[in-house]
Amino acid sequence: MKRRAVLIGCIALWLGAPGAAGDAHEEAVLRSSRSSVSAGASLPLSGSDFAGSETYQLKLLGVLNEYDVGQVAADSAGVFTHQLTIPADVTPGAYQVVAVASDGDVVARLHITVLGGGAGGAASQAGDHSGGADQEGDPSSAARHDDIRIERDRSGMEWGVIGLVIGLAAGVGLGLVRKAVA
Amino acid sequence: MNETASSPEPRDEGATGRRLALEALDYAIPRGANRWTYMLGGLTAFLIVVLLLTGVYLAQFYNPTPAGAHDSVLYIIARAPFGDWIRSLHYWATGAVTLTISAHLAYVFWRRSYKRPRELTWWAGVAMAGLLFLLIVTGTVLRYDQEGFEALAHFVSGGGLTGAIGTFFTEGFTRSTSLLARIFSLHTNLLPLLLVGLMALHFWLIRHLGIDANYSETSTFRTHATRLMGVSLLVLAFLGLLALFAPENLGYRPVAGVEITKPLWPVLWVYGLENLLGVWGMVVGPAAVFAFLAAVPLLDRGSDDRPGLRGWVSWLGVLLGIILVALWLFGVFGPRQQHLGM
Repeated sequence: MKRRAVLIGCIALWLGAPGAAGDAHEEAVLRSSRSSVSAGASLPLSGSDFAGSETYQLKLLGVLNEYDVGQVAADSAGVFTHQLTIPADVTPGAYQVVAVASDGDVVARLHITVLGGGAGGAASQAGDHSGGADQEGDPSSAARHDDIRIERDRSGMEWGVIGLVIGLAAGVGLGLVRKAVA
Repeated sequence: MNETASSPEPRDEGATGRRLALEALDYAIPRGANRWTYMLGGLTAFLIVVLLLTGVYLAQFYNPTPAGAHDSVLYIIARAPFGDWIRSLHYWATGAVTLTISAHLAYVFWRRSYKRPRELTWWAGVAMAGLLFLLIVTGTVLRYDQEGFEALAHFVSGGGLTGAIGTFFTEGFTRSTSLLARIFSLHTNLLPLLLVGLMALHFWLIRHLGIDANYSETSTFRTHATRLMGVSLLVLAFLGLLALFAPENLGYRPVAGVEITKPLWPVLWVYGLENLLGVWGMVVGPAAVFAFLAAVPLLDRGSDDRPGLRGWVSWLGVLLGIILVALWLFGVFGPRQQHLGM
């Protein structure tokens, strides 16, 4: 009976737990007539269903980087249009434009692709497999077969869990082998 | 199945054991099946489970688009909780499963366990080895660094060489999605599904045809499974340490039109063959190896089923093994070469 009560309590806690904070109030809508934009270029942006007469911070979220890309103010109907300028130093890749309310909540999100800047290096990064068509000069000068140096930042909790998994696997494994031999 | 020995006395199960029907594991198997050489198949199955679980986790963070793939792998390494360790565990388990399935295949070949009535068991095993090979090369593509991009270019080139069969591996197959996304789908859906299905068939056949070993002395499958699970967990702990202290890295974002990397070590024998035959090596080599393995039960049909090197098929297998090792060494120590003419 007690075990059942604990189980029901755990399920209730799990169901009642708040979702990811960033997704809590995403009821507004961000749109653009384009899904991709070059670094340094502008992206036409429109918003609707925002809270009327509120100001929102726009951010460009990459997988690893984050950029502040200005502010927009919705009119009394909760609508705005805006020309979003992508910083020239943004690396090509998949990004999200998010509108952040004054309380820090993300209220709308738009997925875009940032393309490599038009001018420039000896070779572009391969954005699709047709690659090479937009390259100038000798591409091999930009290609590297070595590895990136990556900062691996592991939290104490991660160390603990990984250590526990390895320790449990080793301990239980040894125990089972001994049991089978016996 | 060799039913020469009776099952041992059933042991007293606890309530949980009865609910789990653990007594079903107490059927007789040859005592010799508890040797490590008979655990290679089970260990391979365990490692496949590790690969499936770690793969499912990695897929939650991976972005299978040309624009986002490389960054998402960087994210997995640098930001995703446990991402670096789980990705490295996936990498090291790939190496381990290559070793265990190769050793298992070699041992079964030496024992000549492919002979009647176990031909289908052998074919299922060979097909699984082929699927694992495909999983390794499709997994390499997903890195989407220079090495991954060159692996993708090999798919495209191989697709071009093999005509209608290879159309799937070209960008021209469809405009609606990228080849990278379709290879991701292959790697995470179709190939694992086929692999699990073949594993089920393999285990079913082993259960019903019996293990090819001497049944004069028996043990129980539960003892075998206990020992196998113990060894498997020890291997997992070792791989976990490797993943922690020798994590797998990632190359730079790819540059199209160049070929400067070598593939992952299980595929280096194909690279060595490409150094000799050009791009056709990647088609001819694996096709020849798997065609030979598939043909073995059909070629070696005599009534003599004693283990060892008997008959020309066995010696042909040894010759093929030596050639593979030589090609692998050539791939490791040979020069970096361009094979695709990019």
